[in-house]
Amino acid sequence: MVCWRRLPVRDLSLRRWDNEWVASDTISGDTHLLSLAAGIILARLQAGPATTAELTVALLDTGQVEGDAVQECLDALAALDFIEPCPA
Amino acid sequence: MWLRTGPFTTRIQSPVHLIAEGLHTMYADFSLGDEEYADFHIRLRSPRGLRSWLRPQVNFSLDGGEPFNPLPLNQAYAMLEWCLNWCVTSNVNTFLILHAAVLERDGRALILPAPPGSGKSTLCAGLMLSGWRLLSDELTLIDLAMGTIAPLPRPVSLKNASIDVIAAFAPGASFTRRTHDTVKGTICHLRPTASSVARSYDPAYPAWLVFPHWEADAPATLTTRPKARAFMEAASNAFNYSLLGAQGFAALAALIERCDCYDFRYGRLEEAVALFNGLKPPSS
Repeated sequence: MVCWRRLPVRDLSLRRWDNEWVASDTISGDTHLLSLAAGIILARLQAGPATTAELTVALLDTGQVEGDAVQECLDALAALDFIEPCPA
Repeated sequence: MWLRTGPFTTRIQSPVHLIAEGLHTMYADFSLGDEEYADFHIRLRSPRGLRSWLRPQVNFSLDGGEPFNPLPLNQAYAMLEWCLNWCVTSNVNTFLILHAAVLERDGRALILPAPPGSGKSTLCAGLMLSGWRLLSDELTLIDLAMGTIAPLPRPVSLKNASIDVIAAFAPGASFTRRTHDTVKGTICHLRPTASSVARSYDPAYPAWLVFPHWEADAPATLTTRPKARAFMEAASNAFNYSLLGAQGFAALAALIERCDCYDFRYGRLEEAVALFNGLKPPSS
């Protein structure tokens, strides 16, 4: 099972409003609008590394775990250099 | 001249007649500084030499440096106003600074971030001339610790068709002479109301964040903008958001929390002013 963590060099600020999140790397100033699911995943990873399964559980209450939704969120966050795979 | 505008004192030195005329027309209600300290020391003067006879120009300097190319002399007053903005946006990081007009009514601030051409300054001028207090038509200064908006009332910059719109809206309003053929077209400045200048040191609490967009003949319409999207748009209109890092994020997030956020389309100024005069305070 793949494990994920926040990129250690990132210093992220996160804020949720309604069903959207804003994430900002306060060192670079990079700021992105995130979906509800992506925001929840990033907030979970702020607390520490987690497996894809654990992140899927974190999203169960949101109703946003259908199909490849979790993997798509993980790929999107990795593309932003917010998260990366890590040893389990 | 030591000019006090909101939190800043600027020492202005210039032999240019148009600068004196503009300052006299626009800043008669302002306080002078105490001639001991100025945040910015600026000069506007004509370069010497043959050119001064063939094509007179004006040059700006801050603390002895000359960051810009000279402009035609007839644009001297406009250059002063542009450079006063530049002094703040290039040197001040004790506030989060948005490119936004900001006005106040009953202690609540209406913030209008927008790019040029959106009708921001026209709307700002119309609201000011209808009794709203002007805090600024260009620079919204957000106090990083308190979250309040610091006033920086100065003349409102108007361009092209909006000059006649405001002249018709308020026939008694006081303007500088019009300057043609600038990079922004024809421009002039509108004198801030005396009541706005008199309260140059009274902060206001953010209440509404509205992104205006002028469109010919469009009915005045407010549409709620989701707060996360309002954050993104406001951040894109900030001068020093990235530079301030976590402080900038926290200040902008706190502002978004306090404000009702809207997109606003309008085509007629009178209709727009009536709509804002009826705006309800945020519920939270």
